Amino acid sequence: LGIIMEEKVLAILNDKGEIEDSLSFAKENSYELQALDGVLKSLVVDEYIVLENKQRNIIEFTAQGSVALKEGSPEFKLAKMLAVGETKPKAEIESHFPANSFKPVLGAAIKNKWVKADKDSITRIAEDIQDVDHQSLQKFADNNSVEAHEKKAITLFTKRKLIATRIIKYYLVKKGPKFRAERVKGVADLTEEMLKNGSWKTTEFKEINTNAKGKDLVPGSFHPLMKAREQVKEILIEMGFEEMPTNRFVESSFWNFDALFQPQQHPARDMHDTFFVSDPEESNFIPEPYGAQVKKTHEEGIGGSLGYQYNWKYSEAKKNLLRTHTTAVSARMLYFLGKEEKFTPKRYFSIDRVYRNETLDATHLAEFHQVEGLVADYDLNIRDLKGVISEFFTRIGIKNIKFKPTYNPYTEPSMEIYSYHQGRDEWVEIGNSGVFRPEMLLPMGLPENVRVIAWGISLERPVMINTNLKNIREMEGHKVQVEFVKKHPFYAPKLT
Amino acid sequence: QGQMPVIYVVAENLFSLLGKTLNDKELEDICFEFGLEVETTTYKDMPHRDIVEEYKEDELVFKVEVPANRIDLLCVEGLAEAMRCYLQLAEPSIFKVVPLEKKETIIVEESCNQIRPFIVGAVLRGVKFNPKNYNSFISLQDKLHENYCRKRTLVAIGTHDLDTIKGPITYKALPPKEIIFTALHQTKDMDVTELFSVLEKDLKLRNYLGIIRDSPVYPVIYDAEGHVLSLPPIINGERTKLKMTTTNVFIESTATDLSRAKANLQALVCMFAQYCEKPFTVEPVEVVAVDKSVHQYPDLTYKEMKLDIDYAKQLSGVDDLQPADIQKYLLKMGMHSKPAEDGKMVVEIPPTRGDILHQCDIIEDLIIGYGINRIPARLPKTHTIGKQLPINMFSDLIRREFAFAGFDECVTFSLISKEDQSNCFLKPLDTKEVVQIKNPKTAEFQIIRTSMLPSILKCVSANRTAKLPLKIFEVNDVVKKDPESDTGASNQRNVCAAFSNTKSGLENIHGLLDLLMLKLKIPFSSDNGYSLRAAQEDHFMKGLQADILFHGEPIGQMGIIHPEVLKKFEISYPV
Repeated sequence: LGIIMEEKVLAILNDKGEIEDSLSFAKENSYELQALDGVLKSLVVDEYIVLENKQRNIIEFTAQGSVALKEGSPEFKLAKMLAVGETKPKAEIESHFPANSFKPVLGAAIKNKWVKADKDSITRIAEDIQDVDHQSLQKFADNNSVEAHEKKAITLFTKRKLIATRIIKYYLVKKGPKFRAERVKGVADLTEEMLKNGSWKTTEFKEINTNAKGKDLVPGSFHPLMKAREQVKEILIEMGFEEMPTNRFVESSFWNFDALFQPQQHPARDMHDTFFVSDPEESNFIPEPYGAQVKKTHEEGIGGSLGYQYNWKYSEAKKNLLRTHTTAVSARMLYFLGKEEKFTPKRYFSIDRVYRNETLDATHLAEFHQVEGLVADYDLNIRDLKGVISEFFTRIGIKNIKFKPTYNPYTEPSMEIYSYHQGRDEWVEIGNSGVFRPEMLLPMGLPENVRVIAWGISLERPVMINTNLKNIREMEGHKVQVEFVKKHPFYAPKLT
Repeated sequence: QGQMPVIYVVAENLFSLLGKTLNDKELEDICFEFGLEVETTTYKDMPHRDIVEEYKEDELVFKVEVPANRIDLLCVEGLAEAMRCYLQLAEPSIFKVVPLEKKETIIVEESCNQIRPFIVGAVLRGVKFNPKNYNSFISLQDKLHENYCRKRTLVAIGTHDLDTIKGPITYKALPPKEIIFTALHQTKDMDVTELFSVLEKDLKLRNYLGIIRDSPVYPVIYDAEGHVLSLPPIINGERTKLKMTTTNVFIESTATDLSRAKANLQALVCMFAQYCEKPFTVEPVEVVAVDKSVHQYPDLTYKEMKLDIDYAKQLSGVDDLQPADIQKYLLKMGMHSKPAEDGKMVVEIPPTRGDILHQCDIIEDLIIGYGINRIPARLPKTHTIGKQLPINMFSDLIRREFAFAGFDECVTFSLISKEDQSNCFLKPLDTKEVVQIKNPKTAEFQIIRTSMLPSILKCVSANRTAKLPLKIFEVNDVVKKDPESDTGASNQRNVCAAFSNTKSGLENIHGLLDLLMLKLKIPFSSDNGYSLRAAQEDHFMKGLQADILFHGEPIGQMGIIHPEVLKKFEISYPV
């Protein structure tokens, strides 16, 4: 059928030079519009024809209008139900018309002076009646172009909901630069056979279509979050950081909170914020004498600190939970560092899963990935922290940052990291940072002038900002569509 | 981590206390540098609008997020005090306890030790309340209760009209049936068992009933005439209630944590002492403890803390700090300081600043006073060598091969429901292996997965409209109980891949396994490589499944998922 259509199009163009109206053409030949469209587009690609977009306004009959066209106008029908001079109850006549349509019909019949009506009855008064409206409708049916009719008439019948106007789009079809009366299909592929027998020399090849897309490939793909993980990991390794073993989702309160000088009454340790583990419920080991040191630090302080002055309990520290931050692992690493005979400066990082028992919404998950970096060295301070953070963010493409003082239980001073978001024209929080408190480091046995600076961001945050997603579940979790994963771009570095 | 408390202050109130008007941008910038987050809103959108004052609906209101440790900033009075100093509009206010011959006394009975052992108190004399400061006083107590007092569990505050009380006051604990009084907003006397059944319907108070409900005795405070002042930490008595017309305010605060109760009381009285007849003064209350020792509260002494200037320079990164600079910047933060003979500085810590535990806390304030964004950045001088964790490097190599083989990577959650687990394996939970969560908010987070298969099947199910064949994989950790680990559980790195099409095509998964082993240089051999052995699991189809063995030991499984399992996951194609 496509070939017949194609032949017809080319024959008419060859004959008359153009097809004025693709719609009428389809109607005349009983072609399906979609099929014709396909044929025309394919001819355009090979430049046999060119299409000009056109549109015009047409008149269409409503359901009511179609009935009137067939059976005469409703007011005519009404008048015909009565003999001249005859009176009938209004209700009886109304019952012959569709619900809620009677009032304008009666109005039209009265206006035409065909009938008169009082509250309950209708009387025919005119002898000779002509269905003028039906004649008008017939004219619309004969020519559906809006231009062919008086504006007033169209408005009137539109108001009466018998007709409606609509814009339709169609093509004016003309010959293209490579027009021929017959289609010569080019060959798309060079084949092994052509190479063998030399027929490639005489074969007419179909020219490349520079407007079309290539074939959809079916590659495997990495998840956007894991791509981001890889890039962040590479940057941190470039900056001299060593990866920490964070593969322990279940952690004791001791390492997650107590070792970080977070008091046992701190709100973060509430059931509302933290997932506790019911089985296995308790951790069976807290290293000593470190545990006792931590207890003393919470209760009385250390190195000039007042401590929190409350009764610190091992039972609370032993409670197992899903770690709320990877800093739990950082604490373990620093503890091991403190046990070494001679301190060596370290840069550590990790990117792994953490858990929050929070209220979930479009940007909050119960589990997400935390990127954490820390530097342990003699006499580090705020300047080093700002330097490392700036370097890291510059490398992940965030240049404009500033710092806001904040409160974390285990860092002092503490700073939130803000970056300027061009699209939103505002500063947005992108991470948290600080210098670990002496109350955290001294019990570990680290030398007094060793300081540890650290920062953390969520891995999801920059990916969300880059992918412009509104709901984080479209990016992470089992509901993510493989199509999204397949099509997700990578972040190319600037190659200037 | 942990919610930062949020307060709402009416702009006009703040500016009138501050003695200066700022535009939104100025305020926002100042607060940013000070460590507060500010949003502008209107009175209409302010939650918990209070009883007394009427503002216009579009009255400008600031929503301020306050650091959790700064309880002295939880009301407009405290905020204005801090900002007055920070903007150098005034010197810090000095708070004092006035010496008194005859003090109000609270006698603590031994029974309190069973439930809520500590009580502290104070008197504000000649207070002039107006709708604004009365509101602020009530809402500050709410904020303190919710945050620092841990929803009244650690500390609870009661405020009363002193003129309705006849001392001495007694603090004791009694069985609930024996405590009979008219509680706040009630019209008649009730015993506490009956009172609790009434309060059960109170949207706010019912949250606190659990703190004492199961105790055989409840804490209660009586005056000398046997009237109940309050039933901490739940409710006060109607008789002694605070009113706008009250001029002498009696504050009692009961606690399970004494140091917190003291710090809490200090912050509360300091914020409102400015409205007293003698501004910034507080009258003491004497507490006779169970052991007959006598304590006086509140303690408004300015504790001295030494600040090592070298340490300050070191930690702040501001190398040229002089004592005069330190004085200036700390004054901006509300603290007086002076050089000491030993070359250090002596800093006077205001009684409102219970958060200052160590020199480093003073230095943080010093940095804020100086301006955190004025401190230049530098890179740490020591060089270290980067290194990645072998297990993660190994995982990345495997992920690469799976993606090269045309599989798409998933990142799914490690928490799943018990139902997911049993739907997948068609057998009851193996409690010897599975780690269980104590307090999941929804069933989605009941257990940690011991296998990635349930998550992968959920993923297949969610991708029912995707183009076939669906080829997905995940490399991630599962968690199993492990007596060798200190926590009793440990992670294990797993891989899981699924192929789904109009026909099962197990050879694709089999081929992926072979590819993986090829890349790992593991031969197909039952002795010194990998091999397969027919398996009998309910969740795979009979005869269409195998254990994957390494050196004869099972390390995994493959097979065609049983149609019963597919049905449970609403999957309509073979997997």
